Amino acid sequence: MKCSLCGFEFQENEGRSVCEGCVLAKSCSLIKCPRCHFELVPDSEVTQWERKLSLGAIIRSFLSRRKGVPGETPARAASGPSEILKCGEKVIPLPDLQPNNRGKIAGIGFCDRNALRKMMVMGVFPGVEIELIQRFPSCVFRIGQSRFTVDRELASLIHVKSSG
Amino acid sequence: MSWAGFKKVRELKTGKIAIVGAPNVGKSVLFNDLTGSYVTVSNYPGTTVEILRGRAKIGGSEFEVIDTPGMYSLIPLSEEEGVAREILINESIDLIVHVIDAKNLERMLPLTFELLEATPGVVLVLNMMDEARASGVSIDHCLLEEMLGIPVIPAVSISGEGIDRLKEIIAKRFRSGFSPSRQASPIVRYSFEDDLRELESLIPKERHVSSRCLALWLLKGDEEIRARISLVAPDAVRRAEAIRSDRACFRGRIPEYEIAAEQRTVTRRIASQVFEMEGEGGGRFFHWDRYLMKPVTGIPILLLVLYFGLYQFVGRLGAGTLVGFIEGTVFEKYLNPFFVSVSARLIPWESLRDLLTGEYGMITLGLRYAIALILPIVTLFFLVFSVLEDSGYLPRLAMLLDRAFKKIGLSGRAVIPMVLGLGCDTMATMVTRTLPTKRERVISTVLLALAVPCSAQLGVIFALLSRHPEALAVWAAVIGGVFFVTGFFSACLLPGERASFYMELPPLRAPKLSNILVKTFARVKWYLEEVIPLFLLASFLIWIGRLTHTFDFTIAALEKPVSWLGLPPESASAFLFGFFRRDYGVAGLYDLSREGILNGNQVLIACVALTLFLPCIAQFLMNIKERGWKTATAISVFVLFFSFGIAYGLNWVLLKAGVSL
Ligand SMILES: Nc1nc2c(ncn2[C@@H]2O[C@H](COP(=O)(O)OP(=O)(O)OP(=O)(O)O)[C@@H](O)[C@H]2O)c(=O)[nH]1
Ligand SMILES: [Mg+2]
Ligand SMILES: [Zn+2]
Repeated sequence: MKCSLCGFEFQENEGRSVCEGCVLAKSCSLIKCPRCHFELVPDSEVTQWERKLSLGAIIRSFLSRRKGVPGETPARAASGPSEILKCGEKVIPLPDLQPNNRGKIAGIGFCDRNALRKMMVMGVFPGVEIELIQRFPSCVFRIGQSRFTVDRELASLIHVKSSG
Repeated sequence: MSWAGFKKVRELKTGKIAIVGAPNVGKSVLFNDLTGSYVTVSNYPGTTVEILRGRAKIGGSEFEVIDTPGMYSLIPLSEEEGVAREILINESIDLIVHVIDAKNLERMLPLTFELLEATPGVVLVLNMMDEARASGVSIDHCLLEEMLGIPVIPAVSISGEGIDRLKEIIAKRFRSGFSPSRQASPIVRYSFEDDLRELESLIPKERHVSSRCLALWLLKGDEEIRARISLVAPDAVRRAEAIRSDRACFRGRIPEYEIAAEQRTVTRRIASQVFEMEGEGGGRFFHWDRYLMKPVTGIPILLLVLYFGLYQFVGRLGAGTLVGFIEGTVFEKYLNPFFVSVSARLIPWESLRDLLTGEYGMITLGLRYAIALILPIVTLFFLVFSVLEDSGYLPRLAMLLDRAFKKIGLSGRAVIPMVLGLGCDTMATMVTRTLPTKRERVISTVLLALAVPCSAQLGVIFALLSRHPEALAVWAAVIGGVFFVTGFFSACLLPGERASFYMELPPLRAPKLSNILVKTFARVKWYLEEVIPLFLLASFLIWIGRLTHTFDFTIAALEKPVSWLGLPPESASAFLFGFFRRDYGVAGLYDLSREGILNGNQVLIACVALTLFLPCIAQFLMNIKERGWKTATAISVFVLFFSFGIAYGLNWVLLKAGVSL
């Protein structure tokens, strides 16, 4: 988001981290600009974030990186993850997938740094195939030969492309 | 140059080898292979929580070998993960042995890149090749070696396959003075290579870790590294922040994720050339897994495990039959009379006789409790426990209980220290390091100190209460209730965000008998070493107390609060024992109840009070070490009053309801 006072662009969790230690932080919906500490009203934060972190950002980052990276063969680039949805495909959160079904990871939803790090550890990257094994009481999924269990909150951050 | 913030460690003349890698890939097995010692091996992530050092003789020279807690990446996600990186930064490691699970090559290779970015002396061990082959995986390790430019060794550490080759390589490297074998050209070239180069040049050379690696850590936003570098090169930190915010704000990217994604692309390219897989894999016990993980079958299985493993095996067989035999027959009939008569003949001084073989004597009380009561129970408990650990059941349990644990401010990850606490709370308090936030660590320390009885205690309680099943049920309900209510309120009181849960589920594995026996032996030995000196000390202090009459005074002082709980004055001594260790206190109850001094209600009340009572001194020291003395003291004071309060309340309820068990 962009600060309406000084024009600084920042991410919402950076803004939230300014409020760490504030007693009211939990119940307060305002966000402070990390540069000038002006308090802003979040403008439909989720869509903002969806734009930054999810599909769009990832498409852009993949496309732009493809161009000038030495050591990357163009063949890999072409067969790499493409986020263009085919007919009949839709993007859903992982827990909405039917158990024992597979999908390709489309992106990761709005989340803080720690959650993102967990995703990286588990190998949740766009284009990777993922299979949901179980939803209750916790989600269990498989990526490659590894199985992980995560709670519903983390699982919902994983957006998968499903043909069903 | 060396940095102010970095601890200097004395160099050793021989080589130093660090074993690093993701959790649960077999690092500790490899460590045991190399050093011939035994450190704990279990089938769940987070077994090793501290740095362990050993010596190994390889090719005629001696090496220091270091086992580290598992880490997923060099940027730590929890407390114990960070210590492996500390080793790399602070000590001059001659060779890093990176162990990976071969069938997960693609996921684990990025850490190899990170290690290679830090230092050129890395060898890669593709462990668990047996499982990889069984699931149809084949890896062209020669090609991989060529692509990475470092030695790659396929291995099965539990059978010793590949160990000789690893030793050969270590010896060869040692002879060549550990000169780097590969050229310092980076494997992964990032899309922001120019920025990275620039940042690199701003960071002064450091002895153990390359500037490129430090620059990457800075870009990833690692707080600790940032603080350290800002001391020597504030420009670098400023530049890194500028690059970070530039990428984050104007291009919508998070540098850390971007770096990981780019490493991923390279691993995918490498894996596509060296890694081949036929069939589905899944492991030998794949089909059983479903039943453990589905709540409909998983919960009944849990109850069966508790009933047979804990109640029947540890409680009835261990604390009932075995203890009855060793204590009732071996000690009461033979050993005690023998020692009493020997000391009567050999020792002329009454008071010294009393110290060794009197009512509270070192042999007749201290050793008897340790060997006749604690030893059989603890041994059986750790046997059951090792089977559970090695099968891979605990991560499944963590998954099943995550939702319930969320209610008390913890996540499923905390299930493992809680279950370990049933073995020994001291050990378990150390394992709370694997929890990601401070809040979770504090809550679980409180719960371990208060409401998780350790094995010896549990066994004696089963033995005491097994004659009154209703009392056992009430005891379990009270302790369970206290566990959840305390957890719930500490979660409300302690600030911090909600715990979030993620955990790798290792495949179910058949436990190896040798590992179970060695592990049980090591733990029992450790437990006794902990317990025996303390029990002897207790006998000694009581002896002094009796000589100086402070003992009678203390007992008299305790009789009052004990009578509030509706207990007879004789039970004051059990509570005095309880101050030394909870299990010592319960052992005291065992004697009282055998003499028929306590009725059903009183046994129950005393068991509840002593279960919740202050933990042992060892745990108190551990609490200080892990949480700081303020938190540790606060926890102890709370526990002391709370345990009495609950017992008092229970007594009141039982009286009012007119229940007698
Ligand atoms: N089949 C097979 N199992 C192995 C092999 N190496 C280790 N294991 C098993 O893997 C599990 C984990 O081994 P550990 O040595 O405890 O793993 P670790 O890397 O030290 O784990 P942490 O200390 O948690 O980081 C144990 O159950 C071992 O028996 C192997 O080569 N083949
Ligand atoms: Mg280990
Ligand atoms: Zn501003």
